[in-house]
Amino acid sequence: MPERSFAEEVRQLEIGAGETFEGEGILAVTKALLQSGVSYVGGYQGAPVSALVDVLSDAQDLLARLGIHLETCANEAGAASMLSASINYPIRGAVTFKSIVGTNVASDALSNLSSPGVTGGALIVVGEDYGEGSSIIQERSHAVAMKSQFWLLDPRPDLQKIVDLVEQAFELSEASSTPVMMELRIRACHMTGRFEARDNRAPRFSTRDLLPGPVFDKDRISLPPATYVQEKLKTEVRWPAAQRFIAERGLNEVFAGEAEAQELGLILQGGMYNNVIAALRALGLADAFGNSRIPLLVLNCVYPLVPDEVADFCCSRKAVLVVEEGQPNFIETAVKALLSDAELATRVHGKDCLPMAGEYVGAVLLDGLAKFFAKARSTAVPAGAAAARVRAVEESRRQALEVLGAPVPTRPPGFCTGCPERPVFSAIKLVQERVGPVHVSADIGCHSFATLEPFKVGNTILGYGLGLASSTGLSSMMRNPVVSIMGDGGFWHQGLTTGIANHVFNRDEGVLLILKNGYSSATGHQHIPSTGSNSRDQASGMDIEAALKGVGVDWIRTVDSYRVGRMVTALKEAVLARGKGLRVIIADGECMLARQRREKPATAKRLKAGERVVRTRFGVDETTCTGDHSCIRLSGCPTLTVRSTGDPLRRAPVAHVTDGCVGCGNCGEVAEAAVLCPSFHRLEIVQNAGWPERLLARLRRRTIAWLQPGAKAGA
Amino acid sequence: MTAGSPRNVAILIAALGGEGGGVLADWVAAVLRDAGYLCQTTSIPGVAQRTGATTYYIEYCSVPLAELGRRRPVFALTPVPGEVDVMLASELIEAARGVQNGYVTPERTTLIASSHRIYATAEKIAPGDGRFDDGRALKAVHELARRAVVFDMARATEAAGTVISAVLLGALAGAGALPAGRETFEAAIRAGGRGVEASLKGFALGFEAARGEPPATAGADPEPSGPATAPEDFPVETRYVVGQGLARCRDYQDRRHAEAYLARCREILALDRRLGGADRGWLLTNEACRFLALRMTYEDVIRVADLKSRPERYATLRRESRSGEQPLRITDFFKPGPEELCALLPVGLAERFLAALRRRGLERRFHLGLPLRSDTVTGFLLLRLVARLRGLRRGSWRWAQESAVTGRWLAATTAAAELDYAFGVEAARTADLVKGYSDTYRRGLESFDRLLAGLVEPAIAAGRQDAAGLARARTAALADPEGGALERYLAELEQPAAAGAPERRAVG
Repeated sequence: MPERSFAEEVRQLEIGAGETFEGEGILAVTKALLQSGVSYVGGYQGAPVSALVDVLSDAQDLLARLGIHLETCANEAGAASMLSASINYPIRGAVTFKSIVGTNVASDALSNLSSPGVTGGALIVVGEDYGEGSSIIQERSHAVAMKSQFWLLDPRPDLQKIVDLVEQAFELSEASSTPVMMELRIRACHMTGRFEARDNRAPRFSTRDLLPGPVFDKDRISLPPATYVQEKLKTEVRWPAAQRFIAERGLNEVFAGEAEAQELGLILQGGMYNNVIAALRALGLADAFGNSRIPLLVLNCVYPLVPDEVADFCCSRKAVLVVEEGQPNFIETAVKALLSDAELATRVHGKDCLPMAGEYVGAVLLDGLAKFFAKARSTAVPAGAAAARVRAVEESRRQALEVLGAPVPTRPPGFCTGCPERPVFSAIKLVQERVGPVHVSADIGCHSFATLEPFKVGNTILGYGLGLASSTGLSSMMRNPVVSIMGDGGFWHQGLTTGIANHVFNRDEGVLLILKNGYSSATGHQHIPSTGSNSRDQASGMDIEAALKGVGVDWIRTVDSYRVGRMVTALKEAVLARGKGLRVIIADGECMLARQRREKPATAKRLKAGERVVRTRFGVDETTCTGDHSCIRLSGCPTLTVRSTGDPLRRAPVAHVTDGCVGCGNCGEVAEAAVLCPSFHRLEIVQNAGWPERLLARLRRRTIAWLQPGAKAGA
Repeated sequence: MTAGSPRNVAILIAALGGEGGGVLADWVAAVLRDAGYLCQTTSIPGVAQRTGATTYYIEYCSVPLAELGRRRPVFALTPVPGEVDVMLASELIEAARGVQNGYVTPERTTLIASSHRIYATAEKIAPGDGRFDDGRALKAVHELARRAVVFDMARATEAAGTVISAVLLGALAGAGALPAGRETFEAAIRAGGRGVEASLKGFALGFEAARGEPPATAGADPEPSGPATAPEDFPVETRYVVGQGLARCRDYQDRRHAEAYLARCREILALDRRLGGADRGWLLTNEACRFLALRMTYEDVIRVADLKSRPERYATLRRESRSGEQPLRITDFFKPGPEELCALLPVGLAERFLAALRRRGLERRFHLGLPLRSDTVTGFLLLRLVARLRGLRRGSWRWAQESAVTGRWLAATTAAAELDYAFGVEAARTADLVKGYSDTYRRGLESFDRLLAGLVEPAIAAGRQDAAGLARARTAALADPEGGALERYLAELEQPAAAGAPERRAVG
């Protein structure tokens, strides 16, 4: 059961010409794919593009009617490989994944797709997880486009523009025989808006209208001698064809600006447009409708550039600023080279005004524009006023810090309440007290949060499903074996082959902890092979333990995630089982968010029907808690927090469990396994109890009250 | 708002992942669209949704769609400092973060926020009090916003049995910060579909509170317990602490124990008087007597059993679990280790028992797991039985251990105070390291020993005070109890080998 239901969005995908689509950016892209007549769509989940495949999974009827094949792929390499269908056949296809990480995994397939080129339009929609709220390393997809020579669109964040560009992307792809990538930043994917819909187009060839037959074309194979010719074609034929299409169809946009401000100009990635306008607005240089006093060249296609477009924009200007998020500054460098070739004297600013690294949010752009105006020394713009506006921001921040006394605490993401992965990391912390410190090779997933406070467990993270593979260089140089982590998502993504099979093959030593929570949880609970069923609810019958045995792992233990004591014992055994090759522990516990979503309505129903329901929650006795917070350092549960003590002689706040407690029992388990503290207790409230149970409870209460020292007789 | 010059109005929402901030953003957008305005929302979900701080950003055009003709506004995807008109925050520190980042300004921003706190991990994990100063955060949100509607929305949320987003939406409507009437807001909630009744109830509470604008109070600290009396010969400023300590010692053991406490307090007071404590607010007496009381009422099995079987406890659990008349099952987890058992054994017997465990290497591993149903008569009687073992306490091994530690601590405090008043106060505060149970307690005791043997006692022997160094060392030990912050700190200090320094004594 995915985290989000897309029933309403599916209805939006059905609408046709004359109707208005209202919704999120990534869903607008999905609708645009249907309007472009795609034959197949695939992808691998990841913020911010998970919704594209998720919504189509919920739209099986619509896909069947149009004859579109949908694939939820094993990983991004699998998704990119799907585009192979467009190499020989005139069919359009689109795949999606998160970038830069997904693009990295897909890069082998992307290279082998870009070299032979395509017949039907091929589109890669990547979600750029860059800047605030990102969960990955900070790199640019731009570099990948450059080295493989496919084209990169970076649309202006406006739903109509994005939709039009999706349709044009397929045409560009076909006109230049080259795959096209469209990058959408996280906020653009989740931006809401509207556009005028067009009718969905059933593809010429599809699951309903089959292809006439296989095509063999030796020039389309990625193997020498064909590859030598293909490389030439990239630069001599496809590149100019793309530039011609971009210029003729006006993919990039020029906003003229005011007559007085013509000596300045801004060249920006399309995706930067709205925030640049907002910064200009704050400086009094643009209005609510985006009318900028400064001329703008908006690059909706950031690779390749069209030299004449850039030169035409720059030729009459004293200075231009290239607004290019991320590094290295490929566009700025290219613009400088173009102007040099065109023998133009326009001064080009970029990373000398704006920061080399990091997201270009409002405050950053405000600062960068002010610096540009100061450097440009133009009479058209009051540079002093811009600098004053920036100083005002700094002043208000300084004032705030003065009142606050210190920066407020940061609040990075962490495990949810009741998460089954939390107790596993408590166990890893505890087992080190018995066997000594271990190197923990961490992985990608919700469990990456274990590297943060309070656990600080995990010495390296190398990539999705690479937890075990990244331990192999170290494993024979440590006194204790390396403990590697892998989620069930990472296991199926590539951990089984890259990590486990190879570990067994090399007879490497090591301990692997597989966190089996049943879904690809961090990305929104998409199904994976071991969930039990696929996105179409067909049973999968695939199992992690069976797969492990299949590749020759002998030492396997499955432990309930919440049993900290048992997990500590199993881990200790695994660490000490030297000479036994790979020891695998499967920590079995369903994602609590998914479980709650299923159980809450069911419980409510049973309560309503008058059935007996036991509500469990944990608590801390304030009187016996000494305020040392060691329980919190081993848990980090959002509902295990602190509150001021009622004890007149103590200063430290005491531990306290809030109402959000779902009764997973982790804190009690940890207190028990770590021998922490007797302050924890479990409360079970019996709702709709039968009369014998109610009577017994009342009797007990009365008797205890009567037995209390100092109780009056007959109380 | 005038329909004259169109401008984009910016709304920033700060929430914690999983709280339903997305629902709030959707409601606000629905209200604006329903009222006839063009608007755009955006967010940064992804893993930021998993309990961390997250934001949602909304812009709408001040001119209704009907009057825009063919013109279309360009909405930003991130807020610009100084350009935010309304900020909504589901928690006090998230509101303060908006102020800190320059989004909330006195010229422009209406801030609607809850004054309750959800502590960040960094605040919770400190062994002492790592909480951010709520008073300062409240001051910032009140002083640095154009208008602040700040009250405890968590309470209203609980009362209505809804999510905090509903109360925030109510406060937004009540504050009149958007160009839409109450009905439009309520319609948005109804259109949302789930938990409508509870949401509307929460909305109404938020709406009314925003209309009344009640003053926010700093975090609800529990009332200090009732007056406890100290003898007349103690200065007024010290009577509260000494009185509380006295009551605690009597409650813990007996009158004789309380008298022993009082006698020691008098000695401390005499020293304080001699050192001119009157001008210093009797800080030494207050701190030393406070910790002395805690030292003399160390937590053992007897104490825990006693506290867990008191009538007040049963009442508290009923109230906090909101179980009402429903049956309530209470399970307590006891897992006494060697030290806990030796709290009951006489010194000689305990020594032999511990030696036997040590020989077998079981010292750290010997534990009895005892889950106990305290709501049953048997469970209750067991607890009372253990509580009645109070009589064995005085002759026990643990009592001897604790007395030795307390004696050493008190001697160091006295000697340090003789050298320098502040040094004495800091020495008294080292007792704060010894708290918790089993491993936590053992680690605390080790840190305490290291601090005394490595810093306090050498300084005393050399006749030099080091209040600042001691404060830093204690902070290091408290900040990183499991790690080696204290060892690192002490290693960095160059200890002049003082002649005649007392030998390092082993404790517990």
